[in-house]
Formats: sequence, structure tokens, C-alpha cells
Amino acid sequence: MGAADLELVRRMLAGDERAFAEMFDGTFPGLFRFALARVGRDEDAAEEIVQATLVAAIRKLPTYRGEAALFTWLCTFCRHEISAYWARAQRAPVELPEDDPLFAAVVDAEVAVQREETARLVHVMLDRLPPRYAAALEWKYVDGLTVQEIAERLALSVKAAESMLTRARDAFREGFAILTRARAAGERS
Amino acid sequence: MTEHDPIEALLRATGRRPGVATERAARVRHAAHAAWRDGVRRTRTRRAVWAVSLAASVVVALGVAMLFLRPAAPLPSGVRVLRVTGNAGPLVAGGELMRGQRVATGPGDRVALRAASGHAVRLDRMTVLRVVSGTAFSLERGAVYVDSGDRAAGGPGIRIETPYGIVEDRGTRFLVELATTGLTVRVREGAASVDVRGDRIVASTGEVVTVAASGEVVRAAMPPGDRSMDWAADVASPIEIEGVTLGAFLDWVVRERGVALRFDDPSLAEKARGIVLRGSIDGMTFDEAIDSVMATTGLRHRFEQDALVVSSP
Repeated sequence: MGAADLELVRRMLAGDERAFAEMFDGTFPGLFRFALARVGRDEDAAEEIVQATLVAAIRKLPTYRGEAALFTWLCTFCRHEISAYWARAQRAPVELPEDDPLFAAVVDAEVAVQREETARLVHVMLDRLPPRYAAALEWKYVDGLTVQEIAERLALSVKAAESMLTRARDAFREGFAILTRARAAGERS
Repeated sequence: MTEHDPIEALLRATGRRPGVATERAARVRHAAHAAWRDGVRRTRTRRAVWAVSLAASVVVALGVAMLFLRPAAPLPSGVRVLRVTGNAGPLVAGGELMRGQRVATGPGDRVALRAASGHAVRLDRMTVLRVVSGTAFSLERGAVYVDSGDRAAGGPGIRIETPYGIVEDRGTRFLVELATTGLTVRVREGAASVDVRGDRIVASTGEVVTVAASGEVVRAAMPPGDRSMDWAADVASPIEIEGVTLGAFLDWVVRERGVALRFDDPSLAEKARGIVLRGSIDGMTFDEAIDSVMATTGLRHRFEQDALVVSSP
């Protein structure tokens, strides 16, 4: 993910329009949801914050070294903008479980699906995946597309699409497991 | 991927991630895109400056670098105001615009600019256009009409950036209209390219390209008698008619109005080439200019769907 993001940033710095579109389409919806959850569901505030986030991050793009995923890197800018937003509003920010690693709570999946918070965390996890992985998982499991149809959408062979779905599932499982372990650690402490 | 697969169960139960309204996405995309383009441009300028600097002596190089790298006051763009109708703020004909400067027109204003490349860029009412450079503009609201005049295709072109795509001229006259629902490009003559998220569409004479906020692109033929660009003639720079033939004046009229010239009687074409005009049309609207000039020639005129028709009394 780091190498792919680094290459994407390199293309953006070279002025490649497709790279800009790829970055924007791949990160904007997730960033918007990230901000929205932290500003009390105020969509206008989220828009303002994400705009400021992207403008600030783009100006710092030459400093991106690929040490974190691009989305994670953008989230650090977004957190800063969110803090500034709450400072301007002179109110305490919205606290979310995943913001505190010691309190990151994800309950048992079979029970949690009934809960809105878990649905949100699943979406957070999807936003953290490479956009193609997240889209493929949604197409497969939410929309019920066949592997053949997913392959066509991604301009891949069926075999390559199967392989990508496997990697997407592994990445999702691994990320979700980290959240689950963090929750367990939070409960023990 | 079995029915007991927890990932499958989890995703099915939680459903698709909520989307973001396309208008919001478009607004943010526009701002982010502008910041990105500015950054790319600055980087290229810096690289060019450094290349020059290395080739020159140390003293000269330092001087050049300091001059160009200074993060200083607004830079002139080479874009000048040609004509203002109404009351478009502090703009004055002949004045030069700065890079980054916004030009805004109200409900009664129109403005004509001349880009550094010589292209005419005309702003309709209720338009906001930001000057990015001498040949690049960012359309934030409203509509602009671009006329490359007699410049050959392949020379320095004009670039109009919008939230939904980037339009570049290829030796042409075209209209770019921005709405909350998307972008429309109408090509009156020549060709213009439209870049939508990295995909390039080239539109030619008589074509309309519509880019929806979702990114969907639709190409269509301009409807016959389309009058959406008529306003651009109202802010055109009037030609000097003193000593000019009626034929040359009519050529200017039909070019600005985007219609053909037709004579009821073929002999009138010859007659028009022999009539020499006197006086001036400065200060007149486009229609006033035509009426005034034709009144002095003893000929009549009328606009039909796609033509200006000249006839005998």
C-alpha cells in the first residue's frame, strides 16, 4: 500500500491529472465520513474541514514519504482541521473509540452487526483499505456481484479479480482483528 | 466466501458505506484541484528558474533566483481588461489583472478580457473567474466565452479549470458554462478538449459536451438556432469601421453572432464589398451597431435561425 501510494503521489507531483483523480476519488468519501463523525454529523462543517484538509495536505505533498498509507497521512491533517474547528467553536470535540487505541472497542461481530456503531466501524475499516479493495468487497458482499462482473469493472482477468478479492478479505480481516485486540486490551485495563 | 464467512456476514449486515452528495464532492474537488495545479505550476517554475540559475554566473543566478522565488506580492498575469459593460466592480478597460485575482460580474455586468496569449475571454453576467496565469483561468461560477481569433491551433492555448473538468482550446470559439449540476461546453467553431478525471474528450464545431457532477459525460449536437452564445457579442470589442467596407463589417457581425451571411440577391454581395463605411460604433451595443451601420447603406437586414440575411429595400 505504501509503495502504491508513494507512486501515486509521485505522479501527482509530476502533474498527472489521472493521479489527482485517483487520489481524490479514493480518499475524499472516506475523509468526509471521518470528519462527519467528529463534528456531530454537521455536513457543512465536514465539507469545510475536508476541503481545508486536502488543500493543506496537497501543499505538503512533497513531504509524503510513504511511511503511512496516504489515507492515514491525510487523516492527520484532517484531525488538525477538526481540532481547529472545535477551537473556533469553543466546544469540546466529539470523542470516538477508534481515536483512543486503549479504548478502541469493537464487539463480537455476530452481535455487533445489530449496532449502528459497529456498522460505522466496518465502514471506517473499509475506508482504510485501498479503494479498489473496499469497492471490490462491497460489490461482492453488499451488491452481490459475481467475480466475473467485478473483474469487468476493474478491467482485470477473473483470476486476477479472485486474487485481489482474497487480498482484500485478508486486509480487512487483519485490520478488523487489530481493532478487536485493541478493544480487548481496553477492557482488560 | 462461504455463507458462514464472518466478513461476508458483517458486510452484508452493515451495508454499503454512505455516499457524499455530488455537489459537496464537486466543490471540494475544485478547491483541492486548484491547490494541486498551483503547486505543480510553482514546482515547474522553480525547476525552470534553477535550471537558468545553474547556467548563469553565481551572481546572476542568485539575482534571478531571488527575483523569481520571492514569495511576494501578487504577480501581474499579462491578462488585461478589454471592455466592461455595466458596473463590474473596480475593473477598468486597459487595466492588468494579477495572478490569483478574481473577476466577478453582477446581474447587469459583462466583462471582456484579453489573455496573455491574445485570446479573448468574455464573462457573462453572474460569473466569477479567477486568473491563474496569463493563459489559465478557474471558473467558479457562471459562463465564459473563449475566442482564439486568428491564432493557429497548436499555439499557446487557453485553459479553463472547473470543478467538473478542464477545458482547453485548440484554435476555436467555445462557451463554458458552470452549474451546480455540472459543466457544459459548446463549441461554436474549431475544437476544444475537455479533461474529465484524466479522460480527454475533444469536441468539434457544433458539438455540446455535458459533464454531470457524477462525472458522466454526454456528447450531443448543438440544437439549430442555439442562441446561448449571443451575449458574447454584446461585450465584443467594436471594430473600427472608418474606411472599412460593408462586407468586412458584415463578416465581423456574423463571426461574433456565430451565424452565416446570406444575400437575398447575389449581386448584393458585390455591392457590400464596394460600400465604404464612415464614422464609429464605439459605445453602441452590438444590435445598435448593426442597425446604425445598415441604416447608412440603403440595405436591409434580418436575422434568421442561423443566418444574417441582407436584402434590398
